[in-house]
Amino acid sequence: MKINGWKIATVIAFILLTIWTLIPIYYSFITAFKSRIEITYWPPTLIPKEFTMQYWFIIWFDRPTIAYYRNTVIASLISTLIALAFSMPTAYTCARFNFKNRSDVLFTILTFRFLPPAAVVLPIYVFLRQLALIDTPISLGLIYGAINIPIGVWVLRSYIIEIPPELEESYMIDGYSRLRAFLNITLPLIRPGLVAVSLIILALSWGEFLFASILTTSPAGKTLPVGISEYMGGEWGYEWNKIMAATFYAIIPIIIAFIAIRKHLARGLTFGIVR
Amino acid sequence: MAKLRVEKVSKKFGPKKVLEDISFEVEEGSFTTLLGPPSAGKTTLLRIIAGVEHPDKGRIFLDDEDITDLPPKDRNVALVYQTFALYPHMKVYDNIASPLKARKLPPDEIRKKIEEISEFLNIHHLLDRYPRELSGGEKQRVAIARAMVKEARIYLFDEPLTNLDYKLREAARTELKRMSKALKATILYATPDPIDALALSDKVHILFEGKLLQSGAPREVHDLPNNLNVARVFSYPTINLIDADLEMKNGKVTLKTPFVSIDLPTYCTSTLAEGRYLLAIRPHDLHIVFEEDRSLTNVFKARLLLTYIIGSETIAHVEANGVRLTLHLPYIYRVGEVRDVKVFIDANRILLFDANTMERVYP
Amino acid sequence: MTNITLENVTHIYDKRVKAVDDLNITFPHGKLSAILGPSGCGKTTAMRIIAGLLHPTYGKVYFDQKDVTDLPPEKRNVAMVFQFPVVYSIMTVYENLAFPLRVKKLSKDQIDKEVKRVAEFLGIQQFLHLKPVGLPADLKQKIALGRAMIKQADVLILDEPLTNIDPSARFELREKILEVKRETGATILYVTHDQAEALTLADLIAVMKDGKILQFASPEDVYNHPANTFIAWFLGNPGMNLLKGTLESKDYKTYVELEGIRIELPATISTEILDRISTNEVIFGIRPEQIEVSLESKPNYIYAKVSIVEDTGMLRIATLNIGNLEIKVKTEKFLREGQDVYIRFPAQYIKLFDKDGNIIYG
Repeated sequence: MKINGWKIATVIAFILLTIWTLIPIYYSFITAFKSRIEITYWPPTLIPKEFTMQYWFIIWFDRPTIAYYRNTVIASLISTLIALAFSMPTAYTCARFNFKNRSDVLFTILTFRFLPPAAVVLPIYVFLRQLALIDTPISLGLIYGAINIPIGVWVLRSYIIEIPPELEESYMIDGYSRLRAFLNITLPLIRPGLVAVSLIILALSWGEFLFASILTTSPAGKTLPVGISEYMGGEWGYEWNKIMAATFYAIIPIIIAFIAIRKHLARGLTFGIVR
Repeated sequence: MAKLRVEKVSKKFGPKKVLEDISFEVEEGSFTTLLGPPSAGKTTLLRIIAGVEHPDKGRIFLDDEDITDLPPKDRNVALVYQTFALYPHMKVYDNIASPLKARKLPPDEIRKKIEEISEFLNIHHLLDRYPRELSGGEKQRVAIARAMVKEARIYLFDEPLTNLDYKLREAARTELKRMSKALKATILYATPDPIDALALSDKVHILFEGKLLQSGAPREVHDLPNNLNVARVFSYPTINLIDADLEMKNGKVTLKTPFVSIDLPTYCTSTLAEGRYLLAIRPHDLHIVFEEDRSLTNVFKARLLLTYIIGSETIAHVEANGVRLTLHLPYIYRVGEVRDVKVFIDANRILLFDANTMERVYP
Repeated sequence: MTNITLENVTHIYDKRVKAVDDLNITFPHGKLSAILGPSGCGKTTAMRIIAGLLHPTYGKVYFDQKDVTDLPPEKRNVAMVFQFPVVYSIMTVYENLAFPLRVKKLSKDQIDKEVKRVAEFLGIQQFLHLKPVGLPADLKQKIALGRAMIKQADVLILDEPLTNIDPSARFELREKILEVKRETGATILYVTHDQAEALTLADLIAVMKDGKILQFASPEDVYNHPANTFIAWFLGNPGMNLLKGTLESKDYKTYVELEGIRIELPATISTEILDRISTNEVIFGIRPEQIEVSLESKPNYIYAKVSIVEDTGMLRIATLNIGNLEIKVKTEKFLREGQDVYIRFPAQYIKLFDKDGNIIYG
């Protein structure tokens, strides 16, 4: 392989880009090991002068972090289940049946996702308050689920379209109802899409801040993003070390989930259906 | 096996009339072909009979039972798709077992039936594989196995040979014929290939642009097409069409074309008028004349442009006075360059169509 | 005017799959050689090695005496036409044709002259100012051919170029390919799985199977004197009937015995074959169209029953049963299933292969 100027320049550019991307992550991580005073140093230190592990433990006790964790898990799971439950049949109908105004319906569903949350959060607050559903992870999960249905519809529909309708038809001709065809043929074949969209919705719900901060008031309902924000301001100032440690605890499950499902995202299953 | 009756079926997709007032019957145990060019409506018609598509108008009857509103699972029909439609996430065994499981048959009965059919179709060694591991011919046989194992009232085939290599197609056609005789089933077979219709079926229905143009025994419809579109659809290679003027003089009836004059029998004076007609002659009714034979009439000079050799036959393209003609010769005829030849047109095999209505007027 | 030679060319994909196996062949200059074989036989791999798109695991490629094995395609002066028409959709047809010449840095006038000459030759001059988008596939292939012509390549490689062309347009494209051959004298390699294209266009056919070249001869020879049973079956529509039998000698005559029927072979062949084979197991071959069919019993004709008839329009392909044997005939006669017929195998068409499928007589 010839070594020439262009190749060297490209490699250097990529190295720089990688450093640029990783530095903030590294810096955040290392901040969690810094002492109370060191986090206020300017210029900031890349390697802590004093290395401390204490904040990684303290955050579990000085605040109801465990409760926040629990609420986040509940809300995200409910959100994912609801979004999937409603978007699967919707996506299927919009993919398979050619009804009037179908494209208008799809467009409208898409626009719902782009509703500025700030515009609707107050009416939702009032609405939930009247139902006495404020400050529970379940109601939060329901709201998240509703918000994420459009994503589910759009992603799943694009996967379903790739499956030749003849497969479902053939199954129905074999002697099954359309519902069975959907369950036994369509769903297994769009598994990568289901996995992908579930994780996307889970991650979005996990990290959501605006609705959580308005619709929850106590550790009974607050989620991790809200909880972490409590380390900012207040009588202790901005406790960056605690914020960073808590943040890392918060994102670990999502990262693990992404890594774990990597192989299920393989699209190989649908190749070669049509000769 | 059941008999099928299609009554006045019509279907539109948006503004497009895909099927118009289609009515026909398929007798019990017969092998019937729906012959027509691509997008003639064949696939739509098969889908309506299978129940995955609903007609706008008309009814479908199986053994006099109106099945038009029944969902596919209650009709007991089988459809073999052009693309085979094998379930990619199931093994071959489970693909074939699918209709039997739907009927909730006990597992050992299912196994027995699958053993039988897979032996018959020579796919027994493939039962444990997945569809993506199979070749085209193997996939087709699995698709047929899945259809046959359910002992349906009628089997619908949608262009099953189109997606196969030509060499595979040859063998598959013979196998299909052999199978259909062994099976005693009612078969409705859709294809754009006239040779499928001639080789395989007892009866053919010509479908063109959503309309049923002609029905009958394949050889009869092939030899006596009622109208120009039928003649065009039902010929391979494409039928030759020539403008011809009919003249009557001194009791003789003559057809004048740009390159040859043909005498017709005198009784034609009562049925035909003078004027412009479209003369149709099949490629295999034109012959190259090698020896001088003064007694042979209806011979004309032409320029041989190119030959196409298919195995032991040749398709020759010639030009006579500006008119391009195709010949189908039952032997190998290899030529190096363009040359002149003498061509004989078999006047007994001529078809005349009215230039306006496109209906056959002679014979 | 280049001879293309492959010397001990072997290619193995992923250290496992041997796509081509020890190919040794010379494609003569100025001729159109077809590489014919079923899918997966290695023909596309062989083509890519000759074109320079693939470096063979072992072996060398020579253009005349020059070793081109390590040269990339652009240095080999080859032109290629693929199954899917390769035209640059952002340029006009004129620009597409001019492109190879611009690379060679010819003057504007020279380019213009050449482009117009080639366009006229291929009959596409009226499209020069258009963009390829929306043009029919056969026109696009003509553009691809034009680009190949204009390069004045010594070697033109076509990889199943007619597969995606409408059947009605194929005839003209075939004509154009032959005209290009006559006009440029380039050595043309035509890769295909369709025997009709090979039989029609080629001066020589190389039949490939499982990575090996089984026979390299003229279309007539490959059809009338196939080197083995695969070739005998692959060519022909349908292919040759191949029946297992045994060779027997009796009373100074030689027979082939096929499950109950005896076919006498011409006396001349007896010693020839018997000397060459180790066992007397043979495979008897004759093409369906070469068998004589009679509706009445005649001397030396064998009785058969018609089992399946496929009417193919001009001819009938009938599967006949002689006892347990199945034989196909191709005839203009109209036969019916269940009919009694009588057939004869003319001596001049009989072929014999040994039990491994190699030709021993015929």
